[in-house]
Amino acid sequence: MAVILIVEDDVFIREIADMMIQDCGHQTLSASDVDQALSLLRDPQHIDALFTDIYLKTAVLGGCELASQAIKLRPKLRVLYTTGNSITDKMKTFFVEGAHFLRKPYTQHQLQDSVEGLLAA
Amino acid sequence: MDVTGGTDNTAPKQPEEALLNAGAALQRAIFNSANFSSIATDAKGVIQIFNVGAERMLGYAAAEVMNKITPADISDPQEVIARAKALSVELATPITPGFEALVFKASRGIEDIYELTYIRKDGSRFPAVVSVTALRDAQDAIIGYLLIGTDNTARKLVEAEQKKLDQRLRDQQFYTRSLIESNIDALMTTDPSGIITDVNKQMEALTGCTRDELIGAPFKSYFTDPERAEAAIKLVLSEKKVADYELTACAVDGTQTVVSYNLTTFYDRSRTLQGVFAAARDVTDRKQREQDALSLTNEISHRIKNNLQVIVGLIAYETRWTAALCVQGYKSMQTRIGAIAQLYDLISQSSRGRTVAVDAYLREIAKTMSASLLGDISGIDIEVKAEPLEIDPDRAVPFGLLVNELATNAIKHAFPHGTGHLMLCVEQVGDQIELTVVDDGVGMKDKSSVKVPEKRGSDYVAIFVRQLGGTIIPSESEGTGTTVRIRLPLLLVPPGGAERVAA
Repeated sequence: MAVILIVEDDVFIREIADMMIQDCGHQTLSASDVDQALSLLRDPQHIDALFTDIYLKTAVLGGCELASQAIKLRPKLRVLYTTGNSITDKMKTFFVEGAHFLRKPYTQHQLQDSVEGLLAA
Repeated sequence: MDVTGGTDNTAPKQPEEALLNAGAALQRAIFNSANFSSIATDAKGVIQIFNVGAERMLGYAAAEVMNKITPADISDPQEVIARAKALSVELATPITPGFEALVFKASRGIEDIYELTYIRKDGSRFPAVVSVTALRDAQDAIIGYLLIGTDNTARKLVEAEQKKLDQRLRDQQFYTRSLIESNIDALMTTDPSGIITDVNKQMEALTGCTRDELIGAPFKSYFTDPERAEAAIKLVLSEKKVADYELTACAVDGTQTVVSYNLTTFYDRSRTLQGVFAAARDVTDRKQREQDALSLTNEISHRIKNNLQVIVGLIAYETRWTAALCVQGYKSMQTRIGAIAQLYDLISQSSRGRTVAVDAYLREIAKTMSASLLGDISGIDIEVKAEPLEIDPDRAVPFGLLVNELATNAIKHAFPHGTGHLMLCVEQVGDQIELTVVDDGVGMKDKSSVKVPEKRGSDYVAIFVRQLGGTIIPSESEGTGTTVRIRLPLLLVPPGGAERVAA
C-alpha cells in the first residue's frame, strides 16, 4: 500500500480520484491547490507519489510548478501528471524527471494502471 | 576714337607695321562677327560702334543707336539698378544706376564679365554674357569702353532644363523616400554580407538607434537571436525571397518586439546583386491575439475534459453499486467517452482553419489506438491510406467515432493470436466517399449479418453511418480477414473547398 497525494481543484473529480485510488488499496491525501499541497508535503507524513492536475485554478502550469517544488522537498517522490489539454513538447520540458502522465478523462482502470505503473517504475 | 584700327591699306614695310595690320584685321574680324555683339562707346557711354552681331541680336540698325544712347538704355533697368547697388556695397563707393554700373569695374582696371538681360528693339529680352573692357589712349586715359556680348539664351535654356531635371529628380527622391518613411513597417537594406546600408524611421524606433548608428552595423546585432537573424540573410540570398520570417528585435533599452520579416534580394540595372531589402511588421498584437486564442482554447479544453471526467467519474461511482452483469456496459461507456475526448484533441491537431484534414485525422486516430489499445510491443500494426480530403468539423466526431468503433472491433476480435494488419482507407469515389476498414485476421463466421462482430458496436456503427447519411456496403470478400466498406455522401470536401455540406 502506498500513500498518494491527489491535487485537483475540482472537488468532484478529486473525490472520485480519491475513491478510485483507495479502491485499489492505497491511502490518499488530497489538496485543491499548490499551497495546500506544499503544506502537506512539508509535513512529516510519508508520501510515495504525487498525482496532480497540471491546470490548477488560475495557475495554467500550477501542477508543474508544484511538482518541481515537491521534488526539492522530497527527491524520491514519484509524480503522475494529468490534464485534459494536449501535452506539447514545451510543456514536457517542465515535467520533473521520471514523471508519468495520464490524459483526462481517465477511467478507474486507466488510473489504477497508471498509479501501479508509477509505483513500479 | 578709332577702335577699328584705321584704314591704311598700304603694304607693310616693317614687321611692326605687319603686326599692326594683323591686329587691325583681327579687330575687323571681331567687329564683323555676327555671333558677338560688339558695342564700343565713348568715355561717357554713348555708343560709337554697333557691329553686325549687335544689330542681329538687338534688332537695331547701327545708325539708330550710334551717338544716341548708351548700353544701359538697351539693358534691363532693374538689373542695372541691382548691379549698381551690389557694386556700391562690394566696392564701398556709391555707384550710379546707369551706364556707370555697367563699366565701373572695367574703369578701375578690374576684369569684368557678367550676365545681363538685353532688351531688343521689339521689347523682347534675351540673356547675354557681357565682357567689358576700358579703351585707353597712349596716356592711359579712358577714351571709351568695349562691351562684347554673347547671346546666352541657349545656355540658359539648358541650365533651366537641367534645373528642372534636378528638381524632378529631387521630387522623385523625396517621393520615394516618403514612401519608405511613411511605411508602417520597419524597412532596411543590407549589403550581401548583412551590413545595414539604409533604414527608415520605423527601423530607428524598433531598435532605438539612430540612422547613423544603424548604417554600417551588422543586421543580426539588433535581434535576440543573432544566429537566426543571420540565417535569414543567408536564406534570402539563396531563395531570393523569404516571407513571414519571425524574429524578436531588441532595442538598446531592452524593449523586445516580435516582428515578421519579408525579405527580398535587390539588384542594380545590370542585374548585379546589391543586397537585401527587409521589411519588418510588428506582430506583437497578433502574437498576443494568438496567445489569447490559445489560452481560451486551453481553458475551454480544460473545462470540457473536466466535465467529461465528471461524467466518467459518475459512471465509475455507479459501477460500485451495479450488478456485475452491467459493469462491462458501463466500462464500454467510459471508454467511448474517452474516445470522444481524444477525438476532440485530434480534431484540434488536424484542423486546417475551418476544416479537418482527413488523412492527418486518420493517422492521429491510428496512432492513439496503437498507443492505448495495442501497447508498445503489439504484433498488430495499423496502416492508413487516405486521400488528402478535408472534413467539416461538425462531422469529424461521428466520423472519428465510426472509425474508432470499426477499428476497435477489429483489434479486439480479428487477431486472437496478437498479430496482424489493419488498414484504414478513405478515398473519393465519384460524388461519394468510401471508408474501408480492412484486417487480415480470422474473419467472421456469419457473413450474412452486418459485418461487425459486436452487437452494441454494430449498433453504434449503424447509428454513426445513419448520422453521416451513408450506407454500409455488404462485403464480398471471402477467406481470411474482414473488410467493412462504408459509403458516405460527399461530406468530405476536396482541399480548398469551402462549401459546408448539409446533414
